[in-house]
Amino acid sequence: MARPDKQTHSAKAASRVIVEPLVHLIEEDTCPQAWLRAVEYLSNHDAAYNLVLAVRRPEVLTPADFAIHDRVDAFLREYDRPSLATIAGTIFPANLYLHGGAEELYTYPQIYPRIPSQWGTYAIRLLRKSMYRRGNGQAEINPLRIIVEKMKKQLAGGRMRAVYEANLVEDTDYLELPIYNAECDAWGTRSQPCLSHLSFKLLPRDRVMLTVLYRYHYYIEKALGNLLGLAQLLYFVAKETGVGVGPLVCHSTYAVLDTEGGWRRGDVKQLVANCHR
Amino acid sequence: MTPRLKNSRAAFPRAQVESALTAWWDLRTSSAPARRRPPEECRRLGGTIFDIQPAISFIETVTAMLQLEALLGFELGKNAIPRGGYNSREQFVRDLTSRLEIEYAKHYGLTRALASRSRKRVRARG
Repeated sequence: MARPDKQTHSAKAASRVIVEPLVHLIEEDTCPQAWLRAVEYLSNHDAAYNLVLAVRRPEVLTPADFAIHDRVDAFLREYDRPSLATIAGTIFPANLYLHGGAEELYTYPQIYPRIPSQWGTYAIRLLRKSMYRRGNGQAEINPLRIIVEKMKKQLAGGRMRAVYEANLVEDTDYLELPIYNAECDAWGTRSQPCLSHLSFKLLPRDRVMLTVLYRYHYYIEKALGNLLGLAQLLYFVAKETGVGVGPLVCHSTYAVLDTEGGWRRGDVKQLVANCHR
Repeated sequence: MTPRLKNSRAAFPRAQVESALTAWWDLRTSSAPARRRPPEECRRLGGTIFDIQPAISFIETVTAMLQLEALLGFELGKNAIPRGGYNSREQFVRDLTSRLEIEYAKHYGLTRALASRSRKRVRARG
């Protein structure tokens, strides 16, 4: 979850924020490759508005990707920051799924009260939501399970139409997962969730795409772990629905080259250079 | 000298804790989907985003620790559970047993000396 944001900039700091181009797009095959290009783009600045990463095959890790993963992981551990797998786990508790399938993943809300606060809050918002139902009062739902079930129904019921129409999602509400919760987030200026929204789309040739929106995104400490966790979540939805894994698109409305972990800009440049070896 | 307890609770059940953690690890990692490709193979041939996962994750460690509450006789605090995961059964059993021994000492009011000794042992193993 978010750390205190430094959204008030001095004039000097503002000059180091990339405002134009209005949107910068990076398209790569895998999550580590997209992350590396994004950090290179940010490396001479403090931040950028509207950095969009599009990953064609988010579930794949090549030998070069493992090398990037291992170098970034070692870098974060050197500064006593959580590992990439731990960051990924805040979005998708992958080992529950790997060891016990979807049913065990869905037990996460029962485990959640026993884990340290500020950890795994994205996952809990994906797996448990309290909502008002007419006639039944307040009820708890599992948004992720609902997405999988709705997508399955869509495939079974209107498969041909869904495959060939340009707008393939008939009722987008079924496939949207807002993380931002006005009830508890609207009044705060700190500790708001950085990941604001997830949108699943069924693509032609039976693949599912995930597009996410970040309000504020730390690119050194969080972004690669976030991408890996989102890719795991996308894989889960695709496999449980019975379709293929499609692209992952991550829109960071404000992408930050963070140094709060104790490293300097020069350390980041060295990390990037090491990732290219 | 045997450390004294403020109440009548017995000494930390080290053997039972180690045995329970070992059994838990074996059961958890023995299922077919849980068997992972060797990390060296993934790094040589490539793999998937799930190949970055530790054998046992932080969340699973929470469930392992919670199962020991009945044996220990008290509810573990959130901070007793280490972040990060484990790739080795020996490391898992050793680290969690040390942490639980400290929590046990704190809860049952063992002498300060034992708690201090346990902390030193954890640091040395760390």
